[in-house]
Amino acid sequence: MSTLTDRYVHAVTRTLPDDTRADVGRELRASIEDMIDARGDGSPREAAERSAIVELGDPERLAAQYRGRPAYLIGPALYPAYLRLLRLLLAVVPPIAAAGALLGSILDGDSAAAVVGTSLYAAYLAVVMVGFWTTLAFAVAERLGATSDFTQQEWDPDSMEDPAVPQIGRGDSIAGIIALSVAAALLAFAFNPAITVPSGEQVLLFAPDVWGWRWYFVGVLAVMVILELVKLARGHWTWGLAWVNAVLEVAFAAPAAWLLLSDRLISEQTMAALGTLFETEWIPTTMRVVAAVIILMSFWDVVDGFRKARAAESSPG
Amino acid sequence: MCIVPEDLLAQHVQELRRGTIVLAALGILVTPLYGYALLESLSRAGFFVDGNTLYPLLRRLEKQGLLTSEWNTDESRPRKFYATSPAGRALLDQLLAEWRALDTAVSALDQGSAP
Repeated sequence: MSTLTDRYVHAVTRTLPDDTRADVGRELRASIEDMIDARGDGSPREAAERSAIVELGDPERLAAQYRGRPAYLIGPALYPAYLRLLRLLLAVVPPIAAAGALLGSILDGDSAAAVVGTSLYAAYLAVVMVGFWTTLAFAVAERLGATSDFTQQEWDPDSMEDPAVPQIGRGDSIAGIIALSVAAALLAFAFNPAITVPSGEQVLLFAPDVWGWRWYFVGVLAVMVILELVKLARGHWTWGLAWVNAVLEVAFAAPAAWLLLSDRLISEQTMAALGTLFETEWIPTTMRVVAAVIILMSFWDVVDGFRKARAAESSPG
Repeated sequence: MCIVPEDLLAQHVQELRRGTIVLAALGILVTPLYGYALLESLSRAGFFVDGNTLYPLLRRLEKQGLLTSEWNTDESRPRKFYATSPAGRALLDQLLAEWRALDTAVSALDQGSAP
């Protein structure tokens, strides 16, 4: 039957490296004995032994002290870099994963609920993966002693953003890029859902002739993505960026509105099916409303771009 | 005069004292001692430290070459004796010089802020 001392020494030295374990154990026993002696002959040995061990405290913590290795995953030197990278990755990777899953799910023809579920699950998986691997990488770096050099190189005084100049939010830019990419991908992959009309047959939503146009729109969207990347790199609006934005918006909105208004966008069959459902006058009106919305939104985007450019260019510093 | 909350006081006092333990240990171990005896010696000299801090600290200092150790099996209870090494003594001199400089600086501060 082991004594309390035996158990304590075992608990402390169990996790120590082989070469020091025996020596620490021996020394600890001697120290505990000394502590028991110091408590005088008045109290019974068990009580003195217990009191000595309680004074020495949690064996895990004592072992950690003896080990001298850090009792944390990521230390203060690496922590800021870790947080920075984690934030960046979490802002970028889960949305991309979700968009990819969304696209795949739509192309597979899943129901709306399945599409949402798949996208959310992909985003969740991405978050978990990013969190785990980033943390693991930094924990390993911490143990390999990659502290001072790594953090020394991090900071460049010229790299800080100017608070006087209104900045473009990184989150907005990334959301924009993803939305544009998804739209471009949908167009490129000839997304043309089949709709079941009241008469029971399946008709395509978009007119087949329009598909010649789609590469044009994909091209415009691709240039828009590039513009977003440039904006992201630049950090703030400029007049040049506002002009390019204006040109792209017009390049997208004008043909789209024209296609809608000249009844070239929606397939004839769908129009016919809608015509049996609603009063025929409603269709052109609806098309005009949608075209107007497209034009208004593009107009607003152009104006907004110029406004932000003016705010950025005319601010001090 | 405000009363300082106890844990805040304890935290800062510990910070203040923490650095002096190494200095004190190196100073006392000019004469070799074993763990518990050093603990008592420090306590008598006015340096208060727990065993669970001191014992690992002695090993660290030995690893840094500032102390040497030897198992003494003369008595019925074998004990590990630590002694300040030449490197430890050199460091001790440096630390004492640092301490005197700090003491001068603190005294000046204290004089300056006397009401």
